[in-house]
Amino acid sequence: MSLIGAIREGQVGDVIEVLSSDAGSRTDIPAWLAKAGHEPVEVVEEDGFTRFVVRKAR
Amino acid sequence: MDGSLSLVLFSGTDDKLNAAAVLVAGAAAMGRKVRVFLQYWALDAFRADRILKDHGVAPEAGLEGAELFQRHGGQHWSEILRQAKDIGEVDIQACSLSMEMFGLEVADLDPLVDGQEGVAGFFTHADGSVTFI
Repeated sequence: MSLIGAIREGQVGDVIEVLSSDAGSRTDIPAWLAKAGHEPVEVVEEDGFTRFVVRKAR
Repeated sequence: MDGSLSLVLFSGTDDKLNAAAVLVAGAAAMGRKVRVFLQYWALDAFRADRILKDHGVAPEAGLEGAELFQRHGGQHWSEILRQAKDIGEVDIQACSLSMEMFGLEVADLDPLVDGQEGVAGFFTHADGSVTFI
């Protein structure tokens, strides 16, 4: 939800980083990005959370 | 794939309302239009003066489950619904029969609730199957 808000408020081309400790995010965030037409840049497993880097594409 | 989600909420315990709110938010995030119809105890939980009070959990949770739910924390279901309304098209209607039973007016409910309608009104807008929680 916070990712959606950040994408909405950002400019096209902005790179946004989301940290999530919810295992569901591993599938939910890519699914939403595909649906909303934004670009996944990087997914990094950290200790106890996952870091998602995404680019606002439209 | 892009159909709408129609949910009828009956139960007023925090665990079921939380599960419903997560479904609503997920559907809204994926671009689905969501219609929610509030009946009985779910409607009662949306009263403006008690939406944040402890509404307990479903009986099947038991003591252990209740503690687990409390500990798990996370956002309150009303906040999840607010965010869902913010990111997508989510319409929440109170069942007019339940409103009558409780002696409620729309003004008595949290602003999350958009209005009240009868069952026929709900089915005028709800297409496809209805999920009952």
